[in-house]
Amino acid sequence: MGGYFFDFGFIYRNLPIFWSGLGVTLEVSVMAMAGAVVGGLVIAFGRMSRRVWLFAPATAYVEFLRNTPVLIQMFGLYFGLAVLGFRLSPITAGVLALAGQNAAYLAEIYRAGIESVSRRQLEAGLALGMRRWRAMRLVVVPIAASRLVAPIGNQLVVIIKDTSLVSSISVYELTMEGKRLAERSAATYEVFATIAVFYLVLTSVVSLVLRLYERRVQLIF
Amino acid sequence: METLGTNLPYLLRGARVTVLLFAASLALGTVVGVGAGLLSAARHPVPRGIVAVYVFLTRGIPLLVHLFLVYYLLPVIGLDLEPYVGATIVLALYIGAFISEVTRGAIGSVSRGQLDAALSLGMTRGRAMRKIVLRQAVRYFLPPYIGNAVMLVKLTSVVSVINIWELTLAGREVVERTLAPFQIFAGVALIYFAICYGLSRLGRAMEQRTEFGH
Repeated sequence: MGGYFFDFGFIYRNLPIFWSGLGVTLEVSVMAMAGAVVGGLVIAFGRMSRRVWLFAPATAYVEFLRNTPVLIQMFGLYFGLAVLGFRLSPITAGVLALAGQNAAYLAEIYRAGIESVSRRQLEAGLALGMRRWRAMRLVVVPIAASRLVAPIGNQLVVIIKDTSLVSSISVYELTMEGKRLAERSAATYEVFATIAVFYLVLTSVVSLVLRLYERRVQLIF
Repeated sequence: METLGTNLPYLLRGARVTVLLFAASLALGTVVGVGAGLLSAARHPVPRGIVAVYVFLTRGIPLLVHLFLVYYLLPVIGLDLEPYVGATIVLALYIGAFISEVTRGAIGSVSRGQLDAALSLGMTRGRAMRKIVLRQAVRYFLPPYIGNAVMLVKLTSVVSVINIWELTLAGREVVERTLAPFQIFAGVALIYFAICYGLSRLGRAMEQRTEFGH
């Protein structure tokens, strides 16, 4: 073994590379999360609509995006659209793919949450003289939202982990920087162990913040 | 469409490998996951702690990073694994963590009163778990289990990044040869869709059946 098992010095010397990768990972995560959270709302409206021309495309979107790998969706957006004349940058294609698939998941989470709120809550709002839209906004949505913190949080953690896949369309985020560093050094598994720790810290922090937030909103309702 | 047509047999061969990878890792992952889930229902804190660490380490790190870690670590510790065997083990351990959470959740969904009632009838704890709690937990287990199976089908595509040949890598090879990425990736997506949607439908049918049963 030569007295060597984990080369901390090498990792320490290359920390700036990890930080730069982490920055891109955060950037992709935040953009994909924002896109998924908002996009999911739009699709959830379609899924709950009684109009077929809204319901049918929203359903097709959800079924197709949830039943195909996000990696293939990424390749389709990046390589596929380019031959059709739409050249996307790797980062745009990656963010669109991650936001697109997770919007489908979030739409179903929103819908399940709204349907879980008893109809009487809406009726009580209407009885107090609220209009339907106002009763939805002030009564139903807040109750649903307090129940949805945990499942939405899980989905956000999935997004963070899935950003590692944009490395395969050459976005220089954490995993890609790690791969490059591993390829030009002998300390290969140390690099990936370090990267694993970075992701673990990132996903744990997000989970923890959401759990604290969940406890707060549950006290209110 | 012609390019897709001539390359379809090649893609379907890739799909066969995908299904084999999926089936092998689901089988192994189910054993690991259900086992871990049962351990987390144990009264002793040590097995519960071990399972909690396993779930935490697995679910907090991307599958791709696990794959790279094993890919680079194996030669260092002197283990020479067949790539498919290594990928199957990593996929199984990864999905196993999710299945263990499903198992734990299913056991937790059975009312505590059921266990107490069985114990008060003089059953041993093991017998009460087997005959009363686990039997009812199955109906809570199946729907999310199928959901995780669908997730596993999609996750198998990630092994293509470490150059393991299956449907996604087959698709990438065909694209390099034909320069028709849109057509080919659409075809690949449809093959995945057929597999996953079939599984999802099966899961929904099971869900309805278990609802009728009670």
